[in-house]
Amino acid sequence: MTDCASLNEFLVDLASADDESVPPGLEQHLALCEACARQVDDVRAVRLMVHDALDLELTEADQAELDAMVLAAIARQG
Amino acid sequence: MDFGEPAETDEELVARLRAGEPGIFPVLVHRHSARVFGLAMGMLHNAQDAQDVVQETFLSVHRRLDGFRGESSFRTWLMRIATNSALMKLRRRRRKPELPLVIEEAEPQGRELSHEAVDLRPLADKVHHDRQLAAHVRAAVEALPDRFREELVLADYQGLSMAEIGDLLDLTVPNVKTRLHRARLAVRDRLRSRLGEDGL
Repeated sequence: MTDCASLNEFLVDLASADDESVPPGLEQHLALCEACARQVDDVRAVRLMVHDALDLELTEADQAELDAMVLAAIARQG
Repeated sequence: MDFGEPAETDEELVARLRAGEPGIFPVLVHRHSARVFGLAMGMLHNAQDAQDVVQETFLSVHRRLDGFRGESSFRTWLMRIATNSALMKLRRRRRKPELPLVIEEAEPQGRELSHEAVDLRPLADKVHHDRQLAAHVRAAVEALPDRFREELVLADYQGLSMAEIGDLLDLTVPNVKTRLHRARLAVRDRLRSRLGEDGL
């Protein structure tokens, strides 16, 4: 059985892991402790939200302008 | 302009470019410029600076293409150049020491959450379609001190590993993990506050 203090380590690992599976022992704790389960879900939610919020979709015109700027700079460089 | 077959990999395009085929570099620029811009905006929060990073990145790629040995994917190589460019710009423009007060005020881990706190979980899938929500998230990220924001963007937007971030920022992996986690908690708290004010 894992206690709340163990969650800290898990959250730090969760912050880095591609595999977000819950370590054995902690799963049982999360099933019983709503506050800890909520923290795990929050961290995952923040990760997703940050990714999607920063994933800017440029309009075709904006992207064309950006690309043209880059290619012009390369042409100047020669 | 022909932007190549969708199935054609970056590495195949690079091979064609190295073989002297004209018109390939614009395809690579078109394929990756938006993502480089997104990375730079996330780190710098300034469109002009972000455009500069895009330009510097592709200039550097163009100059150094002969040195690309394919040990990582072209995309990884390019994004590493972009990250370094953004970091250099960020460090050049820093004029005063950072005050990590925001992070220090993030609540201790394990604190019991208020039952009235905004639940972020159902909102996580809406960010892509909800401009106001996305703006709140970006504002929360922007409010982080630079060094915490760097890590958050590198990890959550660019998807770098902790080891890669540690290499870029000259930090140990445990330090990266800890700072990243604290940054996420700070973003969570700011979001809760902002969304609560908006009645969400």
